Amino acid sequence: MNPWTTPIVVLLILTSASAGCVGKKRDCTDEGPANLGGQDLRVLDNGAWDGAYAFIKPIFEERTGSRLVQIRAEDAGAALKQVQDSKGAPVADLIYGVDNALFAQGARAGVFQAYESPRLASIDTAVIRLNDFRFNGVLLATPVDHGFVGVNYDRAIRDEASEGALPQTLRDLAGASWASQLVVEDPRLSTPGLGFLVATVATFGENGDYDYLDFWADLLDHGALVAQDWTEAYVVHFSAGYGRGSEGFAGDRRLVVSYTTSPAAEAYYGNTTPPSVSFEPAFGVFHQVETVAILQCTPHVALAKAFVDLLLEPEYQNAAAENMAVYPVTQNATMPEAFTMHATDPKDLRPAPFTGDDLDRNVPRWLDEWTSVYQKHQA
Amino acid sequence: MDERGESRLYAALPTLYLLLFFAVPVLAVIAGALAAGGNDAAGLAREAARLASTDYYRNRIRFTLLQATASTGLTLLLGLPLAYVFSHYDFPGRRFLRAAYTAPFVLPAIVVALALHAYIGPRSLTGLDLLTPLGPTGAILLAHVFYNTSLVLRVVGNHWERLPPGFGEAARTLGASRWRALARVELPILRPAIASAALLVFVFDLSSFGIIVLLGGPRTGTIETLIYQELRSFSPHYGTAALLAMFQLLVTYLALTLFVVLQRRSRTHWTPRSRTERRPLPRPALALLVVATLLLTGPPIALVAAAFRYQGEWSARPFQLLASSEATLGSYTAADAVANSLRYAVATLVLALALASLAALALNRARRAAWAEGLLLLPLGVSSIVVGLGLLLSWDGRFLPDLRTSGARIVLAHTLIAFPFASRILAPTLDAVPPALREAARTLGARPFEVVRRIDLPLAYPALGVAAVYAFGASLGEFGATLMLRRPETVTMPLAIFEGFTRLAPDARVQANALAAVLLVVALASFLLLERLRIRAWGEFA
Amino acid sequence: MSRLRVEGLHAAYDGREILGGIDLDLPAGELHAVLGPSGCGKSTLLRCIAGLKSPTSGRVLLEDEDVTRTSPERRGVALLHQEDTLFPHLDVRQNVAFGLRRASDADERVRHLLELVGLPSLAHRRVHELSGGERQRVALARALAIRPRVLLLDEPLSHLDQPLRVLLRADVRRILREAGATALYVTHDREEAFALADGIVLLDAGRVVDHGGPARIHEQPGSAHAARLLGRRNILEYRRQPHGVETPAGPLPVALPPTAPAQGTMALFEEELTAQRGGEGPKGRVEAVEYLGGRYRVGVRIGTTLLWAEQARADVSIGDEATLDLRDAIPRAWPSR
Repeated sequence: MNPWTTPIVVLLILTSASAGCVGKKRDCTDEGPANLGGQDLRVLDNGAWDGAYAFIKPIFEERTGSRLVQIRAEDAGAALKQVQDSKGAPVADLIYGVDNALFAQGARAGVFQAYESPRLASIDTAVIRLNDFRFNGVLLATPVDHGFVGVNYDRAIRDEASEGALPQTLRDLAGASWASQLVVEDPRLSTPGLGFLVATVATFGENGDYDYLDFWADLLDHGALVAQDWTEAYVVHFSAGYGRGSEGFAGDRRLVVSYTTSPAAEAYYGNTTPPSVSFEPAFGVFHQVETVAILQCTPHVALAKAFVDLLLEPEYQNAAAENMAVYPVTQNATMPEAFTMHATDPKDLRPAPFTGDDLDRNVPRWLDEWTSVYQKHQA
Repeated sequence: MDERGESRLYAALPTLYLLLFFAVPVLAVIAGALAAGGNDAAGLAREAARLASTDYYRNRIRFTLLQATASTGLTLLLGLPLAYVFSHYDFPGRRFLRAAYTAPFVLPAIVVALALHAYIGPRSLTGLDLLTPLGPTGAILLAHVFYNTSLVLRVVGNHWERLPPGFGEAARTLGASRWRALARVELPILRPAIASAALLVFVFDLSSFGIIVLLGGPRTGTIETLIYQELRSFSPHYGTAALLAMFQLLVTYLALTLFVVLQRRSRTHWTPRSRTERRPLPRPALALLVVATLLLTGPPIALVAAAFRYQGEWSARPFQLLASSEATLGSYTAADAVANSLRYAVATLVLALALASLAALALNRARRAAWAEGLLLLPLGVSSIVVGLGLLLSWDGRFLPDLRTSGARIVLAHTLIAFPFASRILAPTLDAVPPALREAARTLGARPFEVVRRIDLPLAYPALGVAAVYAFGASLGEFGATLMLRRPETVTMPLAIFEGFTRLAPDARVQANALAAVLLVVALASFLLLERLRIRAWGEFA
Repeated sequence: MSRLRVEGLHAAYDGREILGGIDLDLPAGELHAVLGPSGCGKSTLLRCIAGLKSPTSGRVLLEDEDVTRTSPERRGVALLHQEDTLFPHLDVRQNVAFGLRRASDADERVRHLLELVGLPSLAHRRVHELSGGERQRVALARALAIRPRVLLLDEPLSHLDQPLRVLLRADVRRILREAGATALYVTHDREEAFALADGIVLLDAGRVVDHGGPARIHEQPGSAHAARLLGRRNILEYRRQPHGVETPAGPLPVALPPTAPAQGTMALFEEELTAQRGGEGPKGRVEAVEYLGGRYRVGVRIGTTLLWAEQARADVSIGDEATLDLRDAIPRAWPSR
């Protein structure tokens, strides 16, 4: 045998031993250091938090002396899944992006840690129902922004069609001419998708001649496209979305389920007339409240709490719109002009009137029913 | 100790491993499915009936089987003529070209998808967009052909090369034209080898995940992606996922057992001889080579080239971005991903080789049953998603030690895929050692373990090298299970690439490309090592 | 080297019995050849003695030690296979030294053995560089290196061509003698068996048909069956008559030994018969004349039986009437089974 063999084998064995180092078994009652510095705080997000992360990171790090680390998931579904699967040995310290439709699931799984921030008082309770995020009386997640899921369209349609020819109601959307131009997100994977589904339930109801499932059947039959997540819908398929102008862009769907503030964001960033428009009067709207929650068994409890507090501060809240095209939750927060100009005033929106409880009880069933319809009409 | 006893001893560790890290996780998934359905086995049966009668699932299952079959067919269409060309003709660069055609096999699915995009995608370097007209299904088939042609080329080619020319020549002297001799004599003799190659390709295509995820579209869901989606959903149905996985398992097991049976029959009943005479290359064969070269070498080259493009210009910026700690890949740097990947690959290599050697020895010492061999290959065909999920559910500290925070979990999952592969490579070589050699050694006083140490291992040494490289490559490119098991601290290159690819920021995409190029180079380098060792080994799967 | 005894050995493969009760006694230091048609169980017998196959019943004893249950590596029985089993990854020296793991005199021993087999300068050659004859000699050296108690050779020369075989035969004999080996040598080549062995074992269908010194075996086979195994063709039923015997070929004027049974089976050795034109003896028609290079073998049909004669010259051709001269024939007779 080769004289090289022995050292190579030894090297191989040592390397492989290092790969298999068993992690420390955590004692979940240990809350970690009381001070705020010298640690890494990990936030698991929902795939759409890039801008906000870039914004808050320097502020946080300067404030606390610890490092902020973003752990990206493809969407809220994947994030929640990771959290559930790693219960007791969490992959992060906080999760961002669980919304009012998903909260109950996470709460029941016992993966959130209770925390009532001293800054809760600054939240505008006229708009945000804190009870939606209580489980057995305990607040498990803290709202940090909210938005309205609705349908937007490519401005080019308006130029082409006459005023009355645009869809006026959700039902119009299911018609042959418009459904084939629509891209929606999979409600099983994407929170805006789920929000839209809930909105359709609110609009059409579950019983009666034409219930929400009939609507979806029509929508799918007439060619609506179901994308995996918001990014795919908005970047790849929406003709007036972020993908336009880049090489090889082939988006041809002119209607998209997104946020009512999306056009405003475009205006803000592009410093130009937004290429997309929200429907007015708006239909099929869902009020989505997004939260940040501390995960069970995190070793950095004090730091995590400080982070939650930070997100409720004016600095972050006032920049919410810019960073994520959503509304801040605190009272007296300011927003750039572009948003007040181009986004429908929330007061004019009529979102689905479901409470947290309603959603908790029904979302799994709605998803299953939707899945049946989807499978039948996508077959 | 007699041979039976020896066999049992060797089989102990691999069997234990399969039990703990394959059977237990799969059972955990099934148990979880039952639990989710209220511990109702009848409920599970009802669910199975429901699945079987729902068009959607039937269509997806049908699509899974169809795409696997179509891919296999197309692969044979390209691979068989290539095998013929390489074994019958001589031309400059023959060795090199064959090595180049085999390279795609060791590329991870992620890399293949990106490479195809870079080559003939909407934003391709060549300016050609073939992916869009091909559509998702066409793209998947193309990717599979790209991936697996080398398998056919190797397996069938090896046999063809060693087919004594006497058969064909006898046919010719009896009046058969070259085509007739081929069709009526050579191909039928090669049938078992062809069939076994086809089955292996089929199994790979059946459980293909990365390709489908990255190149597919809304209607191209396969069983594998269905399972993944089901598990990711806000309202997951473990029962459905488990049932789909079991179905896939069944189909795969059948195919694999068939593969093993056919392989045995293809074992040389004629004396292999190395072909010394080759004819010069005729024009149609040259055309075939050109096509094959374009298809099989173009994408990797395009990928590497694309890695050097930044905002429309040639630049090394993607790599600079990748190397900087400000990498926009997330909470880890590219260096982390590379280091993790390499560490896991080395660990997988060691573990897989050890297990594979034991398994191959066990099979060799006992009278080999096809069912046992098929069983050994089973992990290859099980949804890697399910394996990942199973490991999550079972090794979490409740009944078994908590492995969730350790990289060991990833290594175990990777080994599960690498070790059957490796044993498949080792087994034939071990079998080729004449039993008389072992007997001679024993009568000379060598005890059973000594025989292994002094006879089996040295004679199998080249195959060990080949197996090592395949195990290493399998770990480097594994995607499905790693996706399920992922934690930020255990990120691997394929995961990092996938993340970068699915991001909004253009910089992320560009870095994903660059990292894919790195992965490609690493995979190729280890593969070249394989080529050098191959000189002394003959045939990997045959 | 030990005395080898086999008692009542039975062995089977897949339920089919191959050895039906073998008894052998080989004195130490002797070389005995096992002769028999293919399928008679020669290889199985060797494998059982070597410990590579478990017998279904019976014993194998070396000196007085019962080794039936001992594993092959501890038995001290070396086996030379029919096919080439030199280890391809080791050179000549390493092959020969294989069984001498820790021996301090390994080098010396290897050198001695290579000299013994006549290949002193090939120590560092690789196996594939050797010729067939050289390979078998190295194999022999390797087997002898461990000082086996018994050496078993399974048709070791059958792969070689005739002239080489004849040459090597003498070498093998010499080497085994010099080593003082107790050896069992399986072959299907009668000439080889007789040339090499101190004793011949005739094996058929898993049973020992005859066992004795070459001269006795040749001159006085122990049974008609043995005679057949040795290639005798003129085997007939007979009944004693006043001046000869009555056979299916008619009356034959041969002198039956007084100890022979009144009726039974007898063999007439071809070389003791002559076919000629005219003269005294049974008459018949010549049906075959085979030229064996210096000798002829003539087949004459007497009555309904074809009898063979082996002679230096043949002045008869096919179709001729010929007389079988039986004056030198000494019938070997046995009772009928």
